[in-house]
Amino acid sequence: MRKFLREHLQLMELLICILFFMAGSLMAVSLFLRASQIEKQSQELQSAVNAAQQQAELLRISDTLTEPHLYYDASWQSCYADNAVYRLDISSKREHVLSLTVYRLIHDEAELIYSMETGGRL
Amino acid sequence: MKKHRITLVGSSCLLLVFTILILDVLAMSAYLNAVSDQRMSQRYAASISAYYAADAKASELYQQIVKKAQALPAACGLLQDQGIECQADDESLTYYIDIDASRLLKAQVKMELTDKRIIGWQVIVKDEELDQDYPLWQGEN
Repeated sequence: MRKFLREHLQLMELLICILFFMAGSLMAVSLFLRASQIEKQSQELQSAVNAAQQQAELLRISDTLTEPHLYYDASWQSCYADNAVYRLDISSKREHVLSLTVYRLIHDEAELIYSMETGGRL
Repeated sequence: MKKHRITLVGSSCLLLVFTILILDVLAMSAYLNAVSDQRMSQRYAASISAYYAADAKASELYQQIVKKAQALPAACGLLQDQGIECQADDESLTYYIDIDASRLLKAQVKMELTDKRIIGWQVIVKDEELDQDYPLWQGEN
């Protein structure tokens, strides 16, 4: 009887350990995944800001408006529209003011990452 | 003689609990670090947007008012009518655009014969305490 009880208790302990392991690992994995996702979003935002800022400075010194759409690959290098992961749109909604908008291209949809307005050439 | 066998009941379970706790603490730390990074990059983006919005407004005012005005004091009057802080004399004009709570964009225009030329386009700090020149070593004894 005593042996049976002891084995039963050991089995219970093992079961509790497995459950705790599962819950703990699930929490850790989900936190790591979320952290990685947030980190990726932050890097994307910073790269989008840098790309827009670079274009804003170029527009300040150039006489003519460059291409209205600029395309970038996953590592933020200029590329053709076919391989593009990001797109920077340059438009002029008001006179003397340019609007720069960066989108992430997912299939046929464009998701907004960052947008800003700047003055053109003085 | 009766032998007593020492068994570590639950030791493996305790070790596992400890390991999982460490793993969770590390995961939480990575998550908090990522959230802090995200907040910082959002603040950076907002600061860049604010600067370029002020730049756009200053450019627009320059093109629409300053460039078209015959004389700089007249342009300054028009800018002041729009609530823009401005100082002008016959030769130069300075106007300020708010970037955010702590920064201003200072634009300086100089009259050269009949043409106007931008001679300054700089960010200045509103708080005088922050804007003071620190007594840094200038490379001379």
